[in-house]
Amino acid sequence: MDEMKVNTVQSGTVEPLIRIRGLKKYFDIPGKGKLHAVDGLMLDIMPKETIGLVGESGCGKSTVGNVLLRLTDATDGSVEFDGVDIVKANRKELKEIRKKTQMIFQDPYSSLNPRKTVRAILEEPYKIHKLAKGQELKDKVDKLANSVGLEPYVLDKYPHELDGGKRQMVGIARALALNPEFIVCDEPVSALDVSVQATIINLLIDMQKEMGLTYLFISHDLSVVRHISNRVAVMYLGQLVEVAPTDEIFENPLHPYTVALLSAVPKIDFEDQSRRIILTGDVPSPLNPKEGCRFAPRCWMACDECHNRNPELTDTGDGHFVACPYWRDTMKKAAELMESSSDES
Amino acid sequence: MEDLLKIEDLYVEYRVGGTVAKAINGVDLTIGKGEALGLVGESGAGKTTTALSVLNLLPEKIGFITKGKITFDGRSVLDMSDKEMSGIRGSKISMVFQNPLTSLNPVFTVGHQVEMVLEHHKHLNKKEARAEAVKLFAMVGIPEYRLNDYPHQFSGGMRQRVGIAAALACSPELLIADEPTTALDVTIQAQILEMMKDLQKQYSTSLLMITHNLGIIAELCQKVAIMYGGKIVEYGTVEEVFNHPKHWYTIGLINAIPKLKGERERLESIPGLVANSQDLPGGCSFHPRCRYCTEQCMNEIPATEEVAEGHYVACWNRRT
Repeated sequence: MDEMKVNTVQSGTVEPLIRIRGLKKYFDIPGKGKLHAVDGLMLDIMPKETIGLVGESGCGKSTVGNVLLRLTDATDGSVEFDGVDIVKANRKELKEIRKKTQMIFQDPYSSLNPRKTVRAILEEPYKIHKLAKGQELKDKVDKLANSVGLEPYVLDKYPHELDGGKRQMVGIARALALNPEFIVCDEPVSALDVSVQATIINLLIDMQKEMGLTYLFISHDLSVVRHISNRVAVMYLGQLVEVAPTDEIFENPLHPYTVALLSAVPKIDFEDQSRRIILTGDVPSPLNPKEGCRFAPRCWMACDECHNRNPELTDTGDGHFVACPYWRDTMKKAAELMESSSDES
Repeated sequence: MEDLLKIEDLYVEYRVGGTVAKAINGVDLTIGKGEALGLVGESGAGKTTTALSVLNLLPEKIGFITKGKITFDGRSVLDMSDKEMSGIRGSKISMVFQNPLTSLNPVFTVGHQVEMVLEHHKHLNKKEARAEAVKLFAMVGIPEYRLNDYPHQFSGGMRQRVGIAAALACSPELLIADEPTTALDVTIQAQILEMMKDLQKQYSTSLLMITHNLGIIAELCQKVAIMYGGKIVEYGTVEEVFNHPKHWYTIGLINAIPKLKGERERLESIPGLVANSQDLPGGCSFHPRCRYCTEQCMNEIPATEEVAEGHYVACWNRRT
């Protein structure tokens, strides 16, 4: 695919912060073959945007985050950040990159060292990169804790003494310690209660505004993703099936999987109910995937051709990319299908 | 509508070592025949404890019902002998658990587990039980050839279907579902919810749906009860409570959830933490987190009032 066709927001003057090209991550499963967790990902992440990455469990969302930060090595492809290819970066380059890229994990309980106090946890990034010591270090940590709204007493506690919301605030503070540019948020609120979730989402939005951060926001919760993202990328079995600005994708989804995914969310709005496309079957295994479109076996509009050819992401205009050759018919067919299913009931 | 389940003034405590956790503090709840009730609340609100109390399944020597009455189909559940209770459990009242992997027995095939229920409660012989199990699995969308598979060979969604098939084996009058879809993906969740809707229509089973997902309640239930600190703080029809919430906790919950439509406003977060059952605040247990807290809220437990027909709220300073 040539550079012009890559899915940037708009072909403007702004350079992407991160350029992902042909990214692949295969896991060898002895005796069973190769698990295609990420299979040919192409995406530009623009500075200061939040791009939501959605998809069901096992579709490869988290692997994308891990590969982007080189927490695991890619099988193939490139991730260009700040003039360096993260996939091939050496130790020294990587250490510099790690200052600018961070991760916020789903479960702050298992991602914080249980034997260290919150203060020690927050001091660590400064120590590793030899950025501060003594009183200066103490001041930096105090300021950092204050900036995310952690009360001073929390600094002397151990992670197990904190509730989920506070623990996630510690996780966020740690990620922000070194003034990063790019943060992968991997399901940062899905382990939290609804009332606490709102606090964390608000905090992430505030910190982004304040520090000019760029987020890759991985989540299976579509309403959270809609709330926080400028753009949304939908993933299915290791591949992107649709990328578009948030309002566009929620109001005008073009990939049949996106349509089904959106219609599957139970809604609190009474007018909106019973219009639903139910997908049959489970998400297929990413082990040795078959030829053809990955979604075809569960697709409600699939034709014979779909089982033979795996479509690429194509531009439909205005930064809306979709990997389905029949995208022009999606909305019409979805309306017909929902109409007929509501007639039945 | 005739009452099927009636919980009156229920109090439950957990006692471990020297600590006492007051999990349920005066719950009144009624489910009519064929009715679906949603029980909403955050972790530690007492949702699951309520369900376990109904089935008399509170952990032995730890969970105690200290006060109250539970009546099922006109009979007092708490006065039943163990034998009577196990006659009801799994046949008249059954439960679908949150995590289908831990609630299924890993050493028996899924078919066998459902057959056991049928043999025990319906006294079917092996052959009849198998035939019945095949029907049940077909109903939840599992083909016959998978009956001889073990739980670990199923995906999460399929396992939950097995759990539902087992729960429905004896066509219960009341199905208790404790976060049945929380562990599942949305497209799979949609399949399960659709199935539960059909079943309810077909067999007019009463449903107690426990979840923190308000969307699921809106789709599946007629009535909803909002729980906080072991009490029902608001109760009514789903339309009434969601469209005209009166308790500040309910209002906070609804505003804390990002919407799928319309403007993206800043989310309203509820300050503070979910009430700790080992150290419940006096008065209204929500008062330390409530913006509209009054002197009275701190000292007196709010009385439950009917604010509109069938809409009950326990708040001294409710939204008007």
